[in-house]
Amino acid sequence: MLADARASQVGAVRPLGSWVMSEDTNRAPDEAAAERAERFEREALVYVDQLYSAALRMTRNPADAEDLVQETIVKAFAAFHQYRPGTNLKAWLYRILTNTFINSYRKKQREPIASGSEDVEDWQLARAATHTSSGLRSAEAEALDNLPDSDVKEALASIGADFRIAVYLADVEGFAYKEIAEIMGTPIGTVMSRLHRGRHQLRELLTDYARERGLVPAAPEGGDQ
Amino acid sequence: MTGSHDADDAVDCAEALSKLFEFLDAEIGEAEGDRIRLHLADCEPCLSEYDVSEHLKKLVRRSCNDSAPAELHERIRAQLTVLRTQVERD
Repeated sequence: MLADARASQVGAVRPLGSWVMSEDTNRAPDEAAAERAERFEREALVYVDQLYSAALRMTRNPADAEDLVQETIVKAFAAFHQYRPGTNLKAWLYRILTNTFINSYRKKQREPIASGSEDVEDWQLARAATHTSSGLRSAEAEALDNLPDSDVKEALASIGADFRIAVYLADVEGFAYKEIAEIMGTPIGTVMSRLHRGRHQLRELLTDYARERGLVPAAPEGGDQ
Repeated sequence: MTGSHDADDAVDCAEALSKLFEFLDAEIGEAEGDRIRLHLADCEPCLSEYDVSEHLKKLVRRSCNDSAPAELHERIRAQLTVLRTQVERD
């Protein structure tokens, strides 16, 4: 009875919404941290396979990919109090993954960084000009479906990191341009430019692979340019 | 919408091609999407470009679905257990 009276009194003086366990005030932050840790395991660990698949494309080798994912999870765990529940957890994790890759792994791998001068008009002009220069026709596009996964992975590995990350995030993960911009820390125009360039380069490489495998007839000598 | 477009309204090849990826990635609104659809229905070379782009997108998606090795899952669980103990002790 006394306890009840005190609790309601405290409640009256310090309205805390639904959080009225006043006797736990001192321990509450610890409990919240423990609960948060539990929630992290429950909600974030389901993305480990997807993060690994992305990390493998970024780093291009399994050992680095494993380390990159582990580092990402540790950083995400430490920063999980900054994550706002209800926002896109997957995008948040991908941002940490991408930042970690750019800041440490890419330097280690000595990959060239895309030039900062990619502008939109540039690819729009390039794009408009490619109308008749394609080596592929609609029917032949289906030949691409017969390429083995290993060819696609090889092609992705041979284009610039910024290009393959943008393509991966859009095509494999289905992120919107706005989300990719947040994940990669660039304006949307840069995302679009990277997507255009990346897909254009992929297409050329895969068309070559398809020709080498005899899935598409070789381009006629000096023909269709 | 009819088959005959107004000069103002119709999408030409340059515009269709410059917006092809945004169309493919569902990044443009319904009305603009319809204008591009109309152009693609009338223009074989642009439709061909679209087909190739769509195939490539699906191909990339199909080809990249590696699962993390079991050891990585275990390594992460073990590390989180350590981190959680630190959190609970602090």
